[in-house]
Amino acid sequence: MPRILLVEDNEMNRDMLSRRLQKRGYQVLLARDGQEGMDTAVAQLPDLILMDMSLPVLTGWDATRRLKQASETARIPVVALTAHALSNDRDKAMAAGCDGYETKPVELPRLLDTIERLLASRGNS
Amino acid sequence: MSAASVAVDDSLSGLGHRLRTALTHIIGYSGLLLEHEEADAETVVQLQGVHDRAAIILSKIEHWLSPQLEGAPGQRISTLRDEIAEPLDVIISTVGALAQRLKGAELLDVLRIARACTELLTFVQHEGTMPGQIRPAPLPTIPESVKGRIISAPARLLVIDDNPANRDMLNRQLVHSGHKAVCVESGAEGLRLLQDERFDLVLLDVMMPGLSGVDVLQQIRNMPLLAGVPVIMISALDEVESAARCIELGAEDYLVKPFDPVLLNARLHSALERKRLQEEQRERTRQLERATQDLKRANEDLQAFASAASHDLQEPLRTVSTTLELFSLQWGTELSEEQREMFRLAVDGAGRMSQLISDLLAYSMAGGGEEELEPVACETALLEAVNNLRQSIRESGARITHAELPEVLAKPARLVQLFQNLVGNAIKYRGEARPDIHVGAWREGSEWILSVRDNGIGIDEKYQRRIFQPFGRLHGSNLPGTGLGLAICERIVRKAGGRLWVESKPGSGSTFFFTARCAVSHAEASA
Repeated sequence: MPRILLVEDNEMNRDMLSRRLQKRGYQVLLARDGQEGMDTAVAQLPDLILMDMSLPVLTGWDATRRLKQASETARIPVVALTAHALSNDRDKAMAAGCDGYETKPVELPRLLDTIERLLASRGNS
Repeated sequence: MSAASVAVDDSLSGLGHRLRTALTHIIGYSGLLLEHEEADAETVVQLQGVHDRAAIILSKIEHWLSPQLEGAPGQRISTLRDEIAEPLDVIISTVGALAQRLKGAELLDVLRIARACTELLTFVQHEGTMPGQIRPAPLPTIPESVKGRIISAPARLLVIDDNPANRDMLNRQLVHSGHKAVCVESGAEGLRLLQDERFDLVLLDVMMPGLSGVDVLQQIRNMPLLAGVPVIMISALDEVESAARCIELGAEDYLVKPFDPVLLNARLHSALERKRLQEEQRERTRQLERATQDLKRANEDLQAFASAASHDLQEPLRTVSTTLELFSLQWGTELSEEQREMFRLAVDGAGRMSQLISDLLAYSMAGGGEEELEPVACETALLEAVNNLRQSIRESGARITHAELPEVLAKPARLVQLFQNLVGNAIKYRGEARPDIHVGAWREGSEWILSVRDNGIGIDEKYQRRIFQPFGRLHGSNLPGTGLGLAICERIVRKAGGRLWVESKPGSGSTFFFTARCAVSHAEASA
């Protein structure tokens, strides 16, 4: 069962998204801020990370940048989740090293496609 | 870009972020609820409505708060407020309706949606506020369209609360909802009233001097007279634990002060509805029991009548038969051939009449209700029937075979009778060849289909219905029998909840089929 780390500071968002992912067979790990997200990623080495970009303690961008620089976690695909729909948000996320980008509210079918695609390509690398 | 417009952009985006977050929750949780397979059609339609309207609101927010858009921010925010007010109102009403219907984990999700709605509502209701200056939200006001949405039949309610202001407020709210309220200030007074007058529901304050709410509750629940009267506890926010304990002691529900009038109404409606449904159910059960008793008695009367009638009819018949036989023995040798023939006819007639009376009795007894069915092995019943038919089997040289036969739910004696009649018919209505009779069985779902196949003369299609009717004989008095055999079979099968039918072609024999319920439960059988 693929393990997904969800880094999201809003409680309801965490609850909603983790339940919908679990229903579809993913095991979901949770973290509430950028630092916890990073620590959990290093310790658990999930198969994919969903990273909210606006996080307390350590922002999503910074957390992603650091994860991509560390060798153990560099290959874990990161999908950015953000409520801001400003176009330079997307560029910022890609510049930090994100492999995918989704705006909130999340369109679940599209997110699932992105997750599947990234997990599949990871399996082949 | 000037510093001012950057600042505006930032605060606009902050506002957008807040609103979008709330919408994320509405869209997300309604989406989650829509994924439940057991949601009924109306719930699905309502959830879809919430989901779709939230998407509309989202698109308006994207549009009006987009940094690319021209126009003063204040103007844009104002327009946005106007445009999302209506869809938001519909979402809130729908959420109210869903909150009444759903329970448990689903209700929690609906409440989360409601919480997100209040965020949006705060935005809509704050006129003339620049983004970044939004004050902390007070308790949101509920739109008029939602108030009084729940309509219960007017009820007589008893309010027991020592605080006069509470009593007054409750009284006004209850009367506004169309109920009749009687308010008293002590438990003692309340209990007195409850003994003398009829009430549909009691609203009981937890914290009272003298006789406490818990004491009053226990006394009410000890009075069998008041068993059907629901009690709703009223408590303050920090007494929730004791109110919850009251539920274990028999209270139906509790409400926390200050009351939300919509919530009060919903809880009352729920408790009163439940009471009404319970009473309805009790009444219906009573009616059902009465009807069943009547039916049982009618059946018993019929059988008693048939039994008595049979006995009273057989007795004089026996006299006739016996007298004829004695006469024949005594003076038979002195009779002419013609006279002896007349005697034979008379004795024959009496014998047939006797047989008919027996069969009629058997027909009336063939009704065994569902309660009297038990597991019976078909093979055992068939063997007993075959044993009873041994004489005609011997005379006709009939050969009877059977497949592996199951256990079915039946009355043992009736099943024997059923097989006896069917196999007996197969022998009786034989053709030129030696009778070859086979009994088979196969399973379909929770029932067995049994078959009795013969190689006899067969039955023309146009008569295949008639043969099951009493006295629906096709062959007149050429063949022995009273014309009741198949009617008895039909009745036996029907009363056990099955069906009896035939497939046949003249000259090619007949196969009679009947259904019977499996003796093992479906679950056991498929384990």
